Amino acid sequence: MAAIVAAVLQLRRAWGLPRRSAVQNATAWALMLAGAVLALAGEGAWGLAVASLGGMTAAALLIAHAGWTSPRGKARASERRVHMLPGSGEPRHIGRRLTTFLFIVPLGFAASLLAVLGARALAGMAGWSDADGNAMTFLLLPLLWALLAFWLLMRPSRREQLAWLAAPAAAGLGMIWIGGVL
Amino acid sequence: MSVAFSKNAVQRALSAHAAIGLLASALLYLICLTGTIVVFYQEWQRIEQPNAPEMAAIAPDAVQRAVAAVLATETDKPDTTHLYVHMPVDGLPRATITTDHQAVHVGGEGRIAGPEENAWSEFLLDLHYTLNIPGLVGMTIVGIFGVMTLALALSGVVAHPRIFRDAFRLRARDNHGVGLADWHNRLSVWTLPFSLALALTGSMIGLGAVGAYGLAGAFYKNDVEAAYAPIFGEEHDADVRPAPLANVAASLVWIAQNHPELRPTYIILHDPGTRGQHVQLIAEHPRRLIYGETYEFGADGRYHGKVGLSDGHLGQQLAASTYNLHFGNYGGLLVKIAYVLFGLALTVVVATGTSIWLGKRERRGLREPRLRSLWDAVLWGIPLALTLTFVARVLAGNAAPLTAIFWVLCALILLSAAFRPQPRPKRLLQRLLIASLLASLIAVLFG
Repeated sequence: MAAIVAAVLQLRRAWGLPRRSAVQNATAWALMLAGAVLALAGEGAWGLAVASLGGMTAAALLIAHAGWTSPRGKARASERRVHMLPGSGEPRHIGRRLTTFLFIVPLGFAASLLAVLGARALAGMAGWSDADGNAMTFLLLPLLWALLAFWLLMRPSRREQLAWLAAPAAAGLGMIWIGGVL
Repeated sequence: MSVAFSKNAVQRALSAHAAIGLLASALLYLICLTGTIVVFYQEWQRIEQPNAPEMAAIAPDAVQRAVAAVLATETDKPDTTHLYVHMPVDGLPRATITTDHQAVHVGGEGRIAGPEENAWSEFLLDLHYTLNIPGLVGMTIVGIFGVMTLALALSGVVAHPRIFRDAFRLRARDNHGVGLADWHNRLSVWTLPFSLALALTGSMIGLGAVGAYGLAGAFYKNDVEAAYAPIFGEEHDADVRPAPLANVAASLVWIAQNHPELRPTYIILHDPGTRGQHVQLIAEHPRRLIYGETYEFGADGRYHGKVGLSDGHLGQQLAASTYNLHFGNYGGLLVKIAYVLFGLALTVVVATGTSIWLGKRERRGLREPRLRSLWDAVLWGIPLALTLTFVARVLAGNAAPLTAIFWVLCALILLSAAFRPQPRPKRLLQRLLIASLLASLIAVLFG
C-alpha cells in the first residue's frame, strides 16, 4: 500500500510541475505498478483491493487540501453543448432519440450477449473448464455491453451503428453454432 | 498526463456521456445513495433491533438444539426446503435461523429468543438490489445501470482530455459552474478504480440471471441451475421421505478441528428432516475477497468435500469475489468507512452531472424552472423519503409497509416539485432532510 500511496504523492508532484516531465510521470506510474504487483503477489486480490483503497484515500486527502486552500477564482465555466435536449425553436427529434435508445439498450444487450456466448463457445473448444467459461461470460457481458454502448454513441451514422451491432452478434452466433457442431 | 483524442471524438464523447448520464441520472443516484447506506447493512440491523441476543460465538450443540427447536415450531406448516443458520460474526454477532416461513434469533444456549425484526435493513437492501421490483426484472434493471455507469466512466474520460492532468486541481470556491464541474471531475477521476470495480461487480450480479439464461439456452438445454453448478456447486436431488434431523453440529466441529483459522458464517440445511437432507457450511477465509468456501456434509455429519470457491477454478474464485468487492465487507470497519466515503463521492458525481448540465443550459439563457425543481426533488427528496421511511420503521414497528411509504413519499415530492416549481424547493427539502435526520436520531435513542 505504501508504494501506491507514494505513487499518488509523486503524481501530485509530477502533474504540478510547470512543464511536463516524462521522467517524473513515469516514476509515479512505475511506483503505482510496483505497488499493485507487490500487493497482488503478497495478499492476492484482497491485497490489491485494500491497497487501492489506500491510494484513493491518499488522493482524496490531497484533493480535500486543494479544495480547502483554493482561492476564489474568476474562471468561466464551460458552455460546451451536449445536444441532449433541443434549444429553443429546434426540432425535438423524438424518433431519432428513440432509435438511439433501441440501438444502445435492447439491441446492444442482445449483440453483447450473443458475442459473449460466442466467446464462451470458443473457450469450450479451447478446453476451458465450464466454471472458467461461465464465469468469463458473467464478467464479459456487462463489460462488452458498456464498450459497445459507448462505441455506438461515438459512431456518426446509423449504418455504422448497425454494422457494429451486427458484427459481434454474427460472430457470436457463428461461434455458438461451430461449438454445437464440434 | 493528457490523452489525445480528436476534437470531434471529444465532442461526441461528451454528448454520449450526457445522453447516458441524463437518461440514468435519477435512478442511478438512488442506486448509488442506497448502496452507500447499505454498506452498514449489519450495523443497521443492530440499530433496528438492539435487544436481540449477541454473542462472539455459539457452540455446535447449541446450534443443533436451535435448529431442532425452530423446526419443532413448524410442524403445522409445509416442510421448509432450506434452513439457514446465520452464525455470529464480528459485524453482526448474532445467531439467526431463517426458514421458508420465519426468521428468529437464538440465544447462546440454543433457545429461540424471538423473531428477527430488520424490515428497514431488508427494505434498503432490496431497494439497492432491485428497486423493490419483484423477481428478476428489478435486479436486471439495476444491472443495466451498472453497465451505464461503466459506459459513463469511459465516455467521461474521453470527453475530458485534461481530466488526469487536472486531477489535483479543485477550484472549490469558483462560481458559475466551475466549482461544480471541478467537484464532478476530481471525484470521478480519483474514485475511478472504485467506481469501475463497483459498476462491474454490480452489473455482474444484476445481469447474472440473464447471463445464466443465455448460457442455459446455448449450452445446458435450458437448465439454468446447470449453468451455475460448475461455479457454485450442484443442488442435490430431493428425497422427501422422512428421516431424523441431520447432524448440523458435526459440520461445525469438523471445521473447528480441521480449519481452526476459518470462521463459519452460514450453515445451510437442505430439505431438513428428509432422507435427502444435507448440510453446507460456508466459512470465511481471512484476507481473501471471496465470500467464503462451501464445505459439504451428509446428514450423518460426514465431510463430503468442498465446492472450490477458495482454491478451485479461477472462474469460481472470481465469481465468489464479486459480492465482497461490491459491498465492501472484506476488511472490517476501516474498509466499510472507505466504501461509504467513496460511495458518497460517486453519489455526488452522479448528482453534480445533471446539475452541471442544467447550469450550462441556464447560462445559455434556457431557464427551465420545472426541470431544476424536479432535479432538486430527486437530490434532496430521495434522502428525505429514505429518512422518513426509517422514522416510520422505528415508530410504527417492523410491520410498517416501508416500500409503499418510500415510493409514495417519492411520488408526492416529485409531483409537488413538478406542479409548484417556484420558489425552488431545494432549501425547503434540505431543511426537511435535516429535521428528519434529527427525528430519526431521536426516534432511535428514545423510540
